[in-house]
Amino acid sequence: MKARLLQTGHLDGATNMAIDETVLRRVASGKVPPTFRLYGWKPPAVSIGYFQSLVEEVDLEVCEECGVDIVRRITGGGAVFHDEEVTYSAIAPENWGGLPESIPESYEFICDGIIEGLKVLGVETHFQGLNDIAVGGKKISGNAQTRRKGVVLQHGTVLIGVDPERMFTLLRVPSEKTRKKLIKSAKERVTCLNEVLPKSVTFEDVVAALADGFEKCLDLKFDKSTLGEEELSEAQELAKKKYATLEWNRLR
Amino acid sequence: MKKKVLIDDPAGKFLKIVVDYNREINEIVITGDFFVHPEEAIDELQEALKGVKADIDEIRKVLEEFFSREGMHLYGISQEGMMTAFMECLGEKNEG
Repeated sequence: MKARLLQTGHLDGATNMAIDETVLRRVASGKVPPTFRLYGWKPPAVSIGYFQSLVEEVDLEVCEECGVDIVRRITGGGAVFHDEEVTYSAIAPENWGGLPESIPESYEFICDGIIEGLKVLGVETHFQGLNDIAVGGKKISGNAQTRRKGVVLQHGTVLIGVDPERMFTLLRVPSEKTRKKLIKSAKERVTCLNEVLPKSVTFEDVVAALADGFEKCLDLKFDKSTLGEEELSEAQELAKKKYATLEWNRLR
Repeated sequence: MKKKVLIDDPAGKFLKIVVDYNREINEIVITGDFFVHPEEAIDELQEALKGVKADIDEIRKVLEEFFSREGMHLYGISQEGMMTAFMECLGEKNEG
């Protein structure tokens, strides 16, 4: 099967989320083929789930001081601090190829591509329902999905490095005691490539491995391309009108 | 009277509700790290709860109707968790 592979490098939070939605819209209208995208975040950003409350979850002052972006996703799930990681999105019609109709099964179907990619890097991981990938029980990748206009959009992270202390400084917690507990628990439950691999990997290494993994596992032939001109300007417009606005980010 | 309750939903995610009510529910915001497909369903539930008598049995009816909808998929959020949250908001103990 043919699919498009986009490598958009490191971008700000609003632009990243706007590109995902723009591609979803364009896949829905048949303007572009099913698309896999690999990207990063610059500046680092906190994304919150569609149903989360921005002010309840995120310490906006600390984020501003630290130069960390904030953005609400169109997908549910929890708050994520995006820094040392590769993020992917998989965007395809609901009835595409072998994509299962069931939501839990489709999470696993797409995550299998990530698992295959991590194997390329030498890491054995497993799917941990509903939406995580783990190494020996420790989470290394979190994923979130939405279905709109007959299209599945799943995006997720693969952690290269992890810094729970920093993450829980950016997020709001009820007390210092809780903060310590959350940090401790994150250290026990979350890992990253730099912890499980004998030598450190770069963003580019991981991007290449994940692209390989998707191709192998989902039996794809990628057409490597960049965002079209019209697509890019549509995304920039959407970033400005939606994802960078307080109205959207403070929706709840 | 405005109340905010955070509960650990037995379905696996956090559920936070903020309810402003007197005799009726004036305002309700449902937030959390759960998944609902289609997402708009939660907005519709909020709308459906507005104006409902601040009485747990009346709220149960609305929730029952919502959770039995067809074509909706929920992960990490449940009717039981939502009931617990409302009971806490209204100052009632969960009967089980």
